[in-house]
Amino acid sequence: MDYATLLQLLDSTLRLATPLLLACLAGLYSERSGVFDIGLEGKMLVAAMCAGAVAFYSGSAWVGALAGIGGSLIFALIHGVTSITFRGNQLIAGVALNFLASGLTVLTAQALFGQGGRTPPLTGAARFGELTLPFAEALRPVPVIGPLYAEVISGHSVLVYMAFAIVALTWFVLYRTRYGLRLRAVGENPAAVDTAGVSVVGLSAVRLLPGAGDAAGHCGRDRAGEGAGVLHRGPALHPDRHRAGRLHRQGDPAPRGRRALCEGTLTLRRKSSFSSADIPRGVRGVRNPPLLRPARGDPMSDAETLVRLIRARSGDAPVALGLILGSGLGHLAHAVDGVAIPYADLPGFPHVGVSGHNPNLHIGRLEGVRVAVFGAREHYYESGNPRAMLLPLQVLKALGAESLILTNAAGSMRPDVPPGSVMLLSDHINFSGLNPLIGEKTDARFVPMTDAHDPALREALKAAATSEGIDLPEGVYCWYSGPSFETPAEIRMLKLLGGDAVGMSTVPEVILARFLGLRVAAISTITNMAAGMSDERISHEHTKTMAPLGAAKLERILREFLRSRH
Amino acid sequence: MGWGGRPPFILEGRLMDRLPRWADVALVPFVSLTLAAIISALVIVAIGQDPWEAITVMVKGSVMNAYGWGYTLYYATSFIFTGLAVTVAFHAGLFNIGGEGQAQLGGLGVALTLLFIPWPHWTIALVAASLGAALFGAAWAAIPAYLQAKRGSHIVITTIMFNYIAASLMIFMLVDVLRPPGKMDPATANFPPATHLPSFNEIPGLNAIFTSGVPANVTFFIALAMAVVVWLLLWRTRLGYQIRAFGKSEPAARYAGINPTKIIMIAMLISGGLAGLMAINNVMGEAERLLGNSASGAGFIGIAVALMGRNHPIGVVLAALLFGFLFQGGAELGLWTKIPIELRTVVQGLVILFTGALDMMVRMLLVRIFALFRTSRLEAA
Amino acid sequence: MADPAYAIELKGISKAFGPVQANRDINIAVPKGTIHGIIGENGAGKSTLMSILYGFYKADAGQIFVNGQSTPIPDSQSAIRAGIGMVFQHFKLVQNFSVLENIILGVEDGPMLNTSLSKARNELERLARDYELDVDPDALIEDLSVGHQQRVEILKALYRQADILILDEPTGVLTPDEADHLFRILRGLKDQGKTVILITHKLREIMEATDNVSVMRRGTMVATVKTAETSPEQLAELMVGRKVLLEVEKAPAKPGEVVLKVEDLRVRDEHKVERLKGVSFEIRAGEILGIAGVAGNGQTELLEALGGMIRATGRAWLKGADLPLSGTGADGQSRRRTGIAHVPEDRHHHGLILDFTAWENVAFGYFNDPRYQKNALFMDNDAIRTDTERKMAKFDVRPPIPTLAAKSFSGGNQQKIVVAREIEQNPALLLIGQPTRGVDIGAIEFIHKQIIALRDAGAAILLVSVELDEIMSLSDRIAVMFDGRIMGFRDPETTDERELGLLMAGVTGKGEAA
Repeated sequence: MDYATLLQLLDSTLRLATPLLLACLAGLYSERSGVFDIGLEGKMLVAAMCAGAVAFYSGSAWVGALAGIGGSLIFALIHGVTSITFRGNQLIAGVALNFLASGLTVLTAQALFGQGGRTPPLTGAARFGELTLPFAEALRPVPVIGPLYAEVISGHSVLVYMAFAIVALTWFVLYRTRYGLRLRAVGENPAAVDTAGVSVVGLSAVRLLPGAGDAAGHCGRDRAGEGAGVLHRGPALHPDRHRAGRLHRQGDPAPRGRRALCEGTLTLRRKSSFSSADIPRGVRGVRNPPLLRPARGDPMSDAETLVRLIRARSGDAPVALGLILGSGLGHLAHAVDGVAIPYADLPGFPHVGVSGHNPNLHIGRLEGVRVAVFGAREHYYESGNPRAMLLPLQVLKALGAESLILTNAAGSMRPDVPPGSVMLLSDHINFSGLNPLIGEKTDARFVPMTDAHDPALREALKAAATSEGIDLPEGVYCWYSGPSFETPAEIRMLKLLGGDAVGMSTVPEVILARFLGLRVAAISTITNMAAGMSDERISHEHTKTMAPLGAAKLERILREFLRSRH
Repeated sequence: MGWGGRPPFILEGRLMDRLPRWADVALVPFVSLTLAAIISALVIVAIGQDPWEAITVMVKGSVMNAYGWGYTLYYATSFIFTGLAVTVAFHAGLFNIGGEGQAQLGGLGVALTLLFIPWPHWTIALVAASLGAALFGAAWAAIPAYLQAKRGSHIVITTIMFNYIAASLMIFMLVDVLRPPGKMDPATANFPPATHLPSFNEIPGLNAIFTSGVPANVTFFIALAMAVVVWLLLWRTRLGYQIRAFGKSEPAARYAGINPTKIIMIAMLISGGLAGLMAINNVMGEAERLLGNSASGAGFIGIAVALMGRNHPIGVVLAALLFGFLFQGGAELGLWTKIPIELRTVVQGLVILFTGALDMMVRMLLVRIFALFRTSRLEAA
Repeated sequence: MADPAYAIELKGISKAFGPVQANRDINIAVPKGTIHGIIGENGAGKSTLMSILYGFYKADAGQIFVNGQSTPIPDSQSAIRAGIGMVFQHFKLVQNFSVLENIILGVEDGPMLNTSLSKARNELERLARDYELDVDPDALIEDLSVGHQQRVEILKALYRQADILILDEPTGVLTPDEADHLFRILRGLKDQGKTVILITHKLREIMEATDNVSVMRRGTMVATVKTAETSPEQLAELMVGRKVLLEVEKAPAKPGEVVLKVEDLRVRDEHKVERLKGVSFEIRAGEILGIAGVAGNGQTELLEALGGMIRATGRAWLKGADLPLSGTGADGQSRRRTGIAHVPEDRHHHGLILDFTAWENVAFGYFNDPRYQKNALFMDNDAIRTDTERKMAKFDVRPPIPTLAAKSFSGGNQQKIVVAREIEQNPALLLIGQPTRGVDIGAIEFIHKQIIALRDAGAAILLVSVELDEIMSLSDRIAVMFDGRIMGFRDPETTDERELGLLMAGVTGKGEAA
């Protein structure tokens, strides 16, 4: 391991240790005072929710932080009243609070923001920025110590420094103040404090506040501070994010509070308990993963059921158009004026676990047109099921849509279509050897694929691009199953065969849509050059800066397209 | 004798200071539940929805037709197992929070039993899979039990930790070991058809009521049988006597010659075995293959069920039915209303809080009301 | 208005817990600068009364006057403000705090500790000079002897400017010597004008230390008399409400064969500290060996080692057969099988499961008894209940309801359940610790008679008690323990309290090594 890697490791260690450190301090206060606080997790979660929500509304990270502390204080108070005033079991009260927190945070966030039980991403002053310590740049050239100071010690959010300051403060409070003396005494022998003429109940209440409340509250602030920042922090964190995502998918209950600190938006929708997220997809033929709520019916009747329950929330008006969003286009989904229904609430809908996606079905008006926007899709490579999107598309059809616009992120094989471009699909090559219609019994399965990408829709999209002044080249998209990327040799072959872009989605959806009689068009945002197409190093940097450009272009095209149809 | 003529007033006082038995057994839980329901209703109002609609949907979807009962009883079956698991440990003075992990391991036991040995008939497979489930669940409880007995490590902490380890272990097993080649799903292959357990709609007699496919299956009867077995164990056997004595007072158990290590180990093994047995219901009876997160939180619900059921098998069965209703009803809420399904997590939290931790508050309240009642009656007389 | 010559005056204090009248119309006046004793049986209402005075309970009726002023005392802070200090039977000290930290706890002079600590140090030096109350201010409580810990409690009260000091059963954990020192301190306090209230059930201490004495019985104040004008017999009669036989009637022992022989018994606690340092003795059939000593000198370990509750080294024989002291065969179950019954010192923590019913407690320790089994699988609960009814009748347990929880019985009746269970086993050896602790005088007589009866039936009995009177009146031979050793054996007929007291303090009359 070279020194630079070591520094990077130390840097992320410091950052990741902060929420744990604050939680530990919270535990320390309660342990010292004789309370075994199993409810810290819930308090952190509530703090995170309050901090995230208030920071969003107020636009101030500090106000958010205070709200986070306030939120966990309320929970600490409930814990205190329960276990001290009413002599309830601390452990049971803690377990109850964890349950309560994991449910209430989602309910609140959903009621406030309608984004599937998450708080919105924070930007600008709503997040704590990085603090560059004095002379960090000046000292950088000094060997060994310079980079250590500049990379590891400097450049953290103010909360990291505060956390370490609180360690020292805690020592002082415990051993040098009246409060500390009484706190420790209560933990060792409550009777001693009582007879010494101090109200144990009062003191215990006071002790629970800074103890569990305060430090857990800090964690909440930390979340507001880190905000979406971690996503761009560099590769050191990514393995961890990945692991979090996996646990996440397993519906792991506990580390959510902590994880919330590390992730961009607080994803509250995973629970400790049974959820309809565990509900299986009702795919015919295979007896599919019924966990606790099995669905064994005909998929079409499932679609009807789903339509009924979607309409119960979104109203009965039919939708004109469906939109499946690829990564990076979440903003467009949130622009929909209507309801957001989490996939988790829709039995049979994909159980999408890749973080950064938005697993919600948004129904409402966008640029005046009533649309159904799918915030995320399931890829073939996720569970080996090419029919994963069948039910959502059936639902779309049943909701009254006639057309479907698909978007995706793809690698370009054409040097004249660099990262940051958008490309309209004129046709596709199904290079996976799979077909979502295998197993269908009727002759409807023999779907013609001539003009599968609807010429009229394409023209309308091109017109929209022209009026927005955006270049929208057409090209052929190759579906490659993934999840591994293509080899340079494969790319050379695909190019020879007439491909222009390559990606891991969209094609099965085009086939299914055609099968269901929907008109389809698809647009790729080009995020990178395909393997072997350019110098990798340059390409990486380029991708990072150019990819968002493509998403912005696509959004403008789609909005203009919708306006033109209104 | 000096005290001969003295009325046993201390005794009398203590009795009268308490609540009548019926109030203790029925009224206190009822009031606790009512309080939890009222606060839940307030939460629903706060998020701008209609609590009356919510309760209607819940009741309709869970207990108003056979189909709903098919789900309610299915959930209740799992909760009976985990609730009994918590109960047995609780009587030994141990707070087993590890039911979740033990149930997952139980699932592994079921999967291994059913995948690798060809069983001729489901009855034999059921016996074997039950053993596998109980064995694996017990094994997972054995380590925290040993650490508690020999090292004094707090069982609450170790069992929580073992939930995490179980989750990771299951991911590893499903992704890297048991996943059939060529499949992307982190799950085992389907169990052989011969091991299919009859659901309620496939049991002669019951199928007259349950006409459509429901997940509730024969395991429900095993769960009820286990409730009886646990009752017999705790109140009719020497082992149960020792478990309860140890749970009430460890120093006294030492005095009586009850071996603490033995009791901790046995109680936790039984507890883990019961939690593991839950896998018969969901893994063998329902999914018919092993998936990730198979316990789906039922291990945690078991804590609430045991608390609510006053750690008595009859209470556990009743509480499991209540939670089964909450689950099925909660799922219906998520389906038919705009109320997010997380509401049921909130309701669970409130039920645990009121029945488990705020017991004393309710009791104090009732004692006061009863005292008022008594006084007024005296005055009237 | 009350008389300001009284430090404390209580008028018409009543307190009920539910329908139980713990204190009924109590009137008491304690003159300033006196030592006032309050005596009464367990459950007579002494502790309730003092708890009201210290603000732990609120009286239902009545008034408290301090120095002639009507003073409501809703909480302990108010009591402290009124100049009342309390020394509890079980010290309320934080074990891992220093003496100074314990003293300032709750009366710190500000949010920071420095000033309070130095002020307390000076004050402590002054108090130590004035009242023979010397303790090292920086010592940790856990390193102090009980006598010194008690001094810290007194210092705590004095540091809080207490003029009136209440002591609840202060001598239970002290040697006669330490108790004498305590009484010297109390007399010193009295000479400085402080008022002392001494709660005790030991008649001897009342006679020795107090100026006046109030007697309580079943929640009422029966009498207040000048100590000089009363006698122990009169006080005992007032306490119980009838004449009491303070002496136990028994025939001379007829010792038979050796039942228990112990050689070089040693016990280490969990901190590897040796608590029993090589004890050897033997007990014969039909003989009571009484172990005298201040609590905490190894008696508990001796009983627990012989009862199979803790591991020990050394050798022991029961009727000539080897009695394992560790490993298999050294547990409570094996002991019971070999005919050893054990009435433990602490019936609440060891002898009973308070939440269990009476009949479940009767099977406690004997759940493996064949009489209590229905078959290989199940216990015969009906048989246990029947057996319980029989034992309750024989030992006159009130109320004789086997299905009642043990905690619903009074202390005396609880102890009778334990004693009945153990004695009715007809053991070869009975280990019995503190047989009458917290038991009212009536039940004491009964339990003593049962012990004598068992002896006369030919059992060997090892009796441990911190009540010297009890040891003297029951034992056929007395062994005195100090610091994990037996200091010597004495004949109760020829020894006296003074000699035993010296042995209990580790001083041997004949210059033996302590």
